[in-house]
Amino acid sequence: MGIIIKLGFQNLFRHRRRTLLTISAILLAVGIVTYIQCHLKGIIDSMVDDFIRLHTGHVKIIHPQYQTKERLLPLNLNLSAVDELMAELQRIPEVKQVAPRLRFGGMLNFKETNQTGMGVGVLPERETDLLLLEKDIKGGGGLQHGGIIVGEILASQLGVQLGDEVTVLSQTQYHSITAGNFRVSGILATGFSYIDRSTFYLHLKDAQEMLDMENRASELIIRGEHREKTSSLAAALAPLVGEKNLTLLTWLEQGGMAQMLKSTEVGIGVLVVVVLFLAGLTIANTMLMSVLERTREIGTLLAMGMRPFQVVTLFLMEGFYLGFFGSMGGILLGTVFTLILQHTGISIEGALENMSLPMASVVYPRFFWGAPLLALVFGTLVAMLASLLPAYRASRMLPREAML
Amino acid sequence: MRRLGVILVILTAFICSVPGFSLDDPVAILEKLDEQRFLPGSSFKMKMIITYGKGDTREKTFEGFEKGQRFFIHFLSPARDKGTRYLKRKGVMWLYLPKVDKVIQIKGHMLRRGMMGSDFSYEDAAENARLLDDYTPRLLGEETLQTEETYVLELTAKRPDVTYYRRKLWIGKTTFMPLKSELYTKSGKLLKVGTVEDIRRIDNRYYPYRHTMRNVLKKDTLTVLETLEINIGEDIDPQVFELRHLKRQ
Repeated sequence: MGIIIKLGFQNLFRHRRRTLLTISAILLAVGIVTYIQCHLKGIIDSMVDDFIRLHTGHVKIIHPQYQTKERLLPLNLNLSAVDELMAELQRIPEVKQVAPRLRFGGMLNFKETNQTGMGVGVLPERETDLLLLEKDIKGGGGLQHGGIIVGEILASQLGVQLGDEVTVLSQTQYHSITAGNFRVSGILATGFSYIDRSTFYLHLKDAQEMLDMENRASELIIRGEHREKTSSLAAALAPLVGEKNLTLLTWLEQGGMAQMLKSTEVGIGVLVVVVLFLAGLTIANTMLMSVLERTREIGTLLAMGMRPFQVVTLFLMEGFYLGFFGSMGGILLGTVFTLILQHTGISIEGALENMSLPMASVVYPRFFWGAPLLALVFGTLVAMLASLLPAYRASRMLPREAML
Repeated sequence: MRRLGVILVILTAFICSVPGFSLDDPVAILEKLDEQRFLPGSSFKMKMIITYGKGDTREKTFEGFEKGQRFFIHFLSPARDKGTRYLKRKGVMWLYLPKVDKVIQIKGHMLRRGMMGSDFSYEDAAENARLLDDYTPRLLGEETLQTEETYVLELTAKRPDVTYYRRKLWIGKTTFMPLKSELYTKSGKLLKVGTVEDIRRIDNRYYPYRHTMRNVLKKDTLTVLETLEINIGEDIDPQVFELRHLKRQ
């Protein structure tokens, strides 16, 4: 047995060109399989992270009837005594960040141009890792009293620039017409066209004053330590939320997030299977060719007294070596590629320009150990299986026939 | 030809003086009501008390002028509404927002919203003071509302673009004031219920010092409009109803 394992290894060097070709095919296929998995994982992860950051938090606290009417941005279904509520929430150890947001429909007016949009009143100091990421604010500083941050596309539609004064028209929670003038203190470019096209941000206190909603907000966005720990965060908050008769929603319960995630995962699963199938086909094809080519050699081995079982094992070993080394190279290639792109990102802005998809315009693949592991096992197994069949068939032939 | 004209005039005068002009006639009743509502020219100061339920009450005061189909009002309190002005002229409603120094026209779906957050919509405020222009009345009967004898009138819109397709009015027999009114949609859904109270006689007309309006679609809301001062028959400077007056400080 030992000799067969050794022989299999030595056989790799007999036909270097053939070996190199087979290994390259496996390497490339496995490299692609590794990278694709990380790429898709990156898309899902960034989607979830952005959703959490921009919309859902790990959990969100709202008025019990807010969710069903959320599309209408109802101001009367609000949270009252928000300052006190935030103070109470921050005493809970699982809570890392609480950000109040007051969302309202409004119209921006600048000179003769009007644009409707969604206003969000925020406390800038509480949004540092959430809405108002510094990297997203293009030009200008943060948000102060009397200031407004306008989405990049909305700003260009209005023709406003930093320092311009825009009028925000809206209605109070009692439907009385209200307005305020605000100076553009920042332009927001999140890369999400649906946000950059229609959203503007005011200081929470300004929004509260304008909408006649002192110490009120539409929602409290809460972040715990990690999104994997959402259920323990929700459990820690449950007593307080229950006592105040409010509603708590985890990120998975909001905006069809769980459903979207599930369907995305199914789609991605299908995609991975397709890629695996194609890669498997390439590997199998290369292996089949190289084994079929050697039917005569098998005949010779049989004529020299090698048993069919030993012949099969020999080819299986060769398949294993080719598959293993090729796959090792492949996952190395895929991983390096992933790690580089994880750093630089891939811009898909052009493809998203006219879409309102909740997707960032730069994709960052995300490396995870499962990807190279799956690729390695897969590449090796396919190579072995592909060499098994022709070797088995040849070993069943009479030596004379095989040598013809 | 000239003679025919004279005959026609005489004939018309004769017909109009026929005693058949009785108050069983819904048109005549509504005409009397319109006469009361249509103020020749007045200046006033009013208080609006809006209850949003659960002890959430806001008081707003304003002063203004009214003449026929035009009015101008200027809010005095509370602080957040101070300086807000409304002008209605030629059937169009304008709003001046002092905080942003801008005049906007109220149109489209905004007209259906509550004025200053009250149960009176902009449409209610802007509507034609002459109901007879927009509605065909029908006398449903007579009822005693609290202690007052009333005619019960049903008004159906003549045109489809009228805010309330149907109205049911309880009109006081002595005052010809709409003591109670119910406002309905075309499908028969009750939208609002209004009353007028504290009716006082000023010169040769009656005037209600207190209006209430309740938007049935909203829960627990009620708006009371109290007249604090009113001078009817005042000579109003027509410039008051000019658009540029809205912005003038």
